Amino acid sequence: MISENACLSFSQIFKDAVTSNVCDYFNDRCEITPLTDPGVITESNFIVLTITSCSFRFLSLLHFDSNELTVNYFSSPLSAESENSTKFIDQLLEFCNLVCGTMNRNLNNYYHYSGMSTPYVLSRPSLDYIVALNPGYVSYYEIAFNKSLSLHATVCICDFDTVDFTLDTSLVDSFTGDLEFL
Amino acid sequence: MSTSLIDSVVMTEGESNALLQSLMQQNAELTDQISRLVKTHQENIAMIKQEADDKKTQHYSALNELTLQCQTLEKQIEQLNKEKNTLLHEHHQSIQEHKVNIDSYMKSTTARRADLRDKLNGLANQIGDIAKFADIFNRWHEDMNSLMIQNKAMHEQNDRFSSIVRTIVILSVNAAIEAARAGENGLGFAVVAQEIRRLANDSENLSRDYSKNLYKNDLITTATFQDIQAGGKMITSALVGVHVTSKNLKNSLISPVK
Repeated sequence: MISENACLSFSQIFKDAVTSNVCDYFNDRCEITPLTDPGVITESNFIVLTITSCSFRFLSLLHFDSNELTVNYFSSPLSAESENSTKFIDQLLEFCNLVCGTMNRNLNNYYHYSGMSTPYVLSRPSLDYIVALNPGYVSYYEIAFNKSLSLHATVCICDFDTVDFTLDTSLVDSFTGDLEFL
Repeated sequence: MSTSLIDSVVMTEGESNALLQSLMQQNAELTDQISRLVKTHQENIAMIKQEADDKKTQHYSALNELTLQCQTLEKQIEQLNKEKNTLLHEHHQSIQEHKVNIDSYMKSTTARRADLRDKLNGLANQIGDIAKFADIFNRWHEDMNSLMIQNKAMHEQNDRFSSIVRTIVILSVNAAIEAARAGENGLGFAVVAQEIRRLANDSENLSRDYSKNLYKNDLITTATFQDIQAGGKMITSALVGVHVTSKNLKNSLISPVK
């Protein structure tokens, strides 16, 4: 069972992680709005990352298209001149990795033992079967990157035990550096 | 005095008598004074002697008392010395016993520490071995990539199959049209064409369902293997904590006993 507080906390952890990494990684701002209808998510692909603990697994999905606007936005930190699809995907995966790392560290304040997967890219139709994972909580978001680019995201929590915690907003993530240390 | 004697030589008899009487009177007075002085001196001597005797008696008495006290003290000192020697002996024995106990305890502690060090070394080796299990999780994750490549191939095969089915549907429609043109002679062929179209429709539905299952399979496979991979990292991370604790414990055992 997952409590309402835990659902709100997971959502907030996700939003905080995206916002802070957009700021740190792209020196930009973003606005995150919750969605009620996943039907508006039309991007052809999504990146999925999992954070696992004994009590839950936390899947974060970032939906994207490889269109010019998205490619240009996510290629910019690496090189404005040499963007190509490979580098774009690498940058996008790295960004998702950073977001997931931030969430993982934040969750460590409440769940001492947790681990994080590497990211993987899936196609949009797979999103329709998210209920097959038997989630306790699913939420959808629109992420507006400085109003120039809009993407969607999905947060999915599968609970295997009682999951109940309340986010302590005084605990600020100050980590900057490599994510993978194991 | 000599001048006075010379002067007296020229005195008259009367003057000599008077002088004689005066001298005799002076002599008597002096004698009397001497007698009083002698008496006084004798009294003083007697008194001093009495005082001396009294003091002597007192001193003897005090001396006797001091002698008694000294004897008592000597006895006490002797007793104390005996007690001191007894205590020293007991204390020495106690020290010897404690030394033996401490030596025994130290030997026992050293043996236990060595045993614990061996066990901790064993534990560290086991932790190292278990940490290698992370490779298994990575291997499983690599298996996921193989599965996903396989799924992708099945997606492509299904797309091709779907395309073939769509072509068959078109062909069956065309066959039905040609059968209709053939009139009576084409009735049998029309039945076959209709059956082929029904089979093609079934195949199309099957292909659609298959495609959905492949997408569902993609998500479930990815979520499962990511769960395995993340779980592996969680276990590895926990093992690092255990390893650090065991190392600290080992270091505290290696440091000398205080």
